[in-house]
Amino acid sequence: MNLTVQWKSEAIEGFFNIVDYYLENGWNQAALNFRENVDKKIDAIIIFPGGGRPTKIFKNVRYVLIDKHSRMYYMYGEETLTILAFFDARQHPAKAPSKRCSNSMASATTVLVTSALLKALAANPPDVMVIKAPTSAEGLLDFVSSTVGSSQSSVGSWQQGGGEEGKTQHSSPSTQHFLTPPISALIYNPKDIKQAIYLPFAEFSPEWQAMLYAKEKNIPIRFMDLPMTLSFALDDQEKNVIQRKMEVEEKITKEEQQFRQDPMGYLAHLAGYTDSERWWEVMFKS
Amino acid sequence: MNVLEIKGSLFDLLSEVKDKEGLLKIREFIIEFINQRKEGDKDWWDELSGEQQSQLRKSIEETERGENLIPHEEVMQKIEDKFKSIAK
Repeated sequence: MNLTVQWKSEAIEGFFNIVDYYLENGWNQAALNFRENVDKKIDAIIIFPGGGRPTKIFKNVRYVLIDKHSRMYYMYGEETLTILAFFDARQHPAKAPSKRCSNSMASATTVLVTSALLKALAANPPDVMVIKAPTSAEGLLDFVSSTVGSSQSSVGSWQQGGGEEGKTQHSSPSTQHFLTPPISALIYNPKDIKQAIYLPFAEFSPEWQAMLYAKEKNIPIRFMDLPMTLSFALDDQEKNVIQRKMEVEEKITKEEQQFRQDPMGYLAHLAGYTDSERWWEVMFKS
Repeated sequence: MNVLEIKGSLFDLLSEVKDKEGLLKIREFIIEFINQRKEGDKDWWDELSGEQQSQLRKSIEETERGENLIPHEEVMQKIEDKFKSIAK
């Protein structure tokens, strides 16, 4: 069978989103592997177009796994093979901050986690609430309250990286206004606005509910991640040494390489799981 | 044919394939088949989010109408350019 391969623009965008996700995390070898796997899968599909996993909804639409997390969806006919989309389970706001994120990622699992968190907080109230978010975003705390304020807005922005290290600039409210989710904080480097992250919060986000709880109980809140000044600087530095890193990666053992590319996947593998998401669910969420 | 006989006949057939590329493609297919078995009988469409379903549905409909399709060679060139910039 000799099929003509064509792509939908959404598939191209999906492909590059996943590649960018790897690169932003410094996993250059993983990006190369992803590309190679896509090539291999397309070659295999051309020979066995029906080899992917079917659905009852659309005839001749299938998906194949590219790696543990990514799926490539395609459609085939007598003469053509169309790459329709790539979806990656890890493209979660907290994990791929500078890419656009899908609301659909707000899963039932997150709601369950939040519910469990609130129960745990009620049972063991902490002395201090430490939240996994960049310290640069602590200005957001001024706008968090369980009581709805007189005015609501949906985006806060902080400049980070242009001034002295760790300095956060934000506008203090002259009269207290509080935010109501869904909201998103934007932190960016005014000297290079391509360096930016969004921190989205929904009503059911564990971080948001934890902040509300702490505010209500007058528990101090601290954000624990590196200030974005440092993260942006590290990003810059990493871009400069990509080639060197690739050379280093070539010298390390296959096992070390697997661990570096996907540490969670590696730990899941050691625990006997083929799917790291499932391992994470069992280990930490159930 | 029982299971053992089927496996034996597959082995015989595979031994006829001499080129490495061909064998690698068959290997990919078998890996895919095994992965699918692991994932059970549930229809993957139902596991997609509403947004993902909408995106795929739109892509399928446009493909059927021959709209917004980009040739593979053009995409490969874009990918090549991207990876060249990574290596720099």
